[in-house]
Amino acid sequence: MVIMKRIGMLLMLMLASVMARAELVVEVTQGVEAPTAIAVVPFGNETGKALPEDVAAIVQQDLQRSGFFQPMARENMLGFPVQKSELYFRDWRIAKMDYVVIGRSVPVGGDEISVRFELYDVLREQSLLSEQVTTNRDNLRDGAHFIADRLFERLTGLKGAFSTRIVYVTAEQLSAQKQRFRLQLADWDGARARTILESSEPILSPVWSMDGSKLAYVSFETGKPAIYVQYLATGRRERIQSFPGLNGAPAWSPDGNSLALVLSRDGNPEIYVLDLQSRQLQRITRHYGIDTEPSWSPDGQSLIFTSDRGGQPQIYRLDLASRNLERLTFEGNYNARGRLTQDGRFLAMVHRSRGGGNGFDIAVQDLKTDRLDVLTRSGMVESPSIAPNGSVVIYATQEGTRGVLSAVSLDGRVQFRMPAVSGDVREPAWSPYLR
Amino acid sequence: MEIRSYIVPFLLALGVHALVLVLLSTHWIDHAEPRRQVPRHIEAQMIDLTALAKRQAEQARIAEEKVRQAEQVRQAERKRQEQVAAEKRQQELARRQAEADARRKAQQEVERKRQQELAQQRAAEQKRQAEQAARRKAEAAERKRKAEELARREAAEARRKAEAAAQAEAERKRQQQLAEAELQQALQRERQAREAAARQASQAVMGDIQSYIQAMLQSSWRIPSTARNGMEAVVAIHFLPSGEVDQAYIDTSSGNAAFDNSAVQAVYRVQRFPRVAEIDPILFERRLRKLLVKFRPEGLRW
Repeated sequence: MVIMKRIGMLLMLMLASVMARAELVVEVTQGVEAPTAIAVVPFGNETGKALPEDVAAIVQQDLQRSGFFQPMARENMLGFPVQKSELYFRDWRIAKMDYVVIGRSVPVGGDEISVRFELYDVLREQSLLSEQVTTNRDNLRDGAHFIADRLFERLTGLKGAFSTRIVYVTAEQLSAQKQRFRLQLADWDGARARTILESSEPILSPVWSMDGSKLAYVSFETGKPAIYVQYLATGRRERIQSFPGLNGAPAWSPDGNSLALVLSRDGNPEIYVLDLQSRQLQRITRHYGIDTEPSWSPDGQSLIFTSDRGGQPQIYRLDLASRNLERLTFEGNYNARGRLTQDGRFLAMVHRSRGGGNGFDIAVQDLKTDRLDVLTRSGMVESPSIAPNGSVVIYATQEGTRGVLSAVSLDGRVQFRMPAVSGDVREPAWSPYLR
Repeated sequence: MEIRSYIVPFLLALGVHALVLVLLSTHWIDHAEPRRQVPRHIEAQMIDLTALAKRQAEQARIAEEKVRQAEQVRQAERKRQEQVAAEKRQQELARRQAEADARRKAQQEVERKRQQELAQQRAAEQKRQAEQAARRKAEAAERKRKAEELARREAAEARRKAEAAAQAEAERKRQQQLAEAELQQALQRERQAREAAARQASQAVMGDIQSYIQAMLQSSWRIPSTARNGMEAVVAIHFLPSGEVDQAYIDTSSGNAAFDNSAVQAVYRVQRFPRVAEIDPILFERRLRKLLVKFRPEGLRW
């Protein structure tokens, strides 16, 4: 009896599984690789006064520049709804929008403004996000970037990096002998730039600490290259001990306790790690070739650097515990200035393809598959730096005879030029997430 | 209990009687002596008649003697009479005493007998009662035993009956199950046969509709920038017979929000699959009411 029952059960189960499998499954393996269509409707202004910034325009530009979104041009919008009751999903659906963002600014009192924004899924006709952010009139850009961060995170699952900052160096030829170098701090989109250091001697290789509170850079202000640390909140500067010969390319470890740097005190450029507390110096590389441009892996376990030990510059990775050395790049005859995304999967670099002439371009290599993609076609790029969420690479390039800043989304879909600033712009460095 | 409480008084009574008897018995033994002395007094008189005979003196003396003798005789006679009377009195007394004794004795005897009888009766009664109690007890025990026996028998009977019933029921069920299983098998065979036929007939249709849905979704799926090769999300679609999408939702997530969203949106973007409405309603119910779509990008850069 029991056995019969068991067999019966088994049969039932088998039947059930057969039935379950009988549910038709369609496999979709192809699609349109396109950015997500989103409409950021101009926000209503109920403050009674003109606002210094167009919040919706900033949000729209942020989203578009990430490469993940294709915002709808304002002139194509049939209407500018400000509230849910004015929103007709059908219209936006016909306009082939997947998402629509509406919002309005309301006064809070004094110079404070509250921006209420809502995100809707057009196809499912449901609200995905409804929040508000309160900022000072003068800091409306911060509010706009914050809104873009929230939308980005809700729609992609990735943390938005629109509230981060960049630093870069500008050089101006004032007269035949006189030059002016400036270290500038700006929004990620280049807006609101301000000078945090001015010098008549070159400033090189600015780099952020992982907590975003300070910078390290090389300055020639004493006539010789020396590494300085500058605190952003106070402007206080600190000279790290300098060594004979070349002192260059500092890089903060993720825990902020050490600085990787390049010194030529033992002959040719080698990579060292300086413990910032004990001031102890540890030599990392030992080769007659040039080893330079160190950068930490996000876990702090290894350093990646450029070396010409193979006859041409290529990027290597050295495991700090085991001292295992591994060459990462093989495509092209020049790969330098490697930077890893925070997930450690992608390596952005300056790349020159084999037989590709003299052009240097930004390339990104998937370390999982070793696939390498060239993202730019400008032919003259330098100093790539990656956004903390890995969505965009910023780099310096030449426009005519002038250096400018450009950026490209990691998938290469979107490229954009940073607002023009006076002088020759170079050496951009993207901040980590800021609090 | 009641009977035992009589034992002490009974023994006391017996003791009192025995004491009285002992006391009286000495009396009877002491009075036996005087009765034997009586004949000796009579012999003493006969010795006086053979005395000396002298005329004058003698006569006087005889007369005197005679008088004295008469007196003596009288006195003796009186004495004798007195003695007889005393004796008689004594006898009477003894007799009365004896009679009283006898009577008392008889009475005592009667009493004793009565007591004895009473005791006997009591003993008998006690015995009877004891017997009765014993009998009652025995009877009760017997009744109890019988009742128990009956109960046991009944329980056994009930059990037997229940077992029989259960067996019968089990047998019935088994039969029923067998029948059902047969029916099921028959139904299943039939269904399978029908399904096989339907499948054969509908295979072409389903194949068509499958590639139709696939084509519709491939043209509507916008693969987001966060998508990577190897990501996989399964979307469940519920159709209305009109071919419209009733609802679509993530059945198995890829782990990436943007990717999942894009898959669901691909379905909603199509909104209506006109050719689904042309499907035979039975086929629709069976195969197309709910559909699983696996979104698995191939050939992405990463």
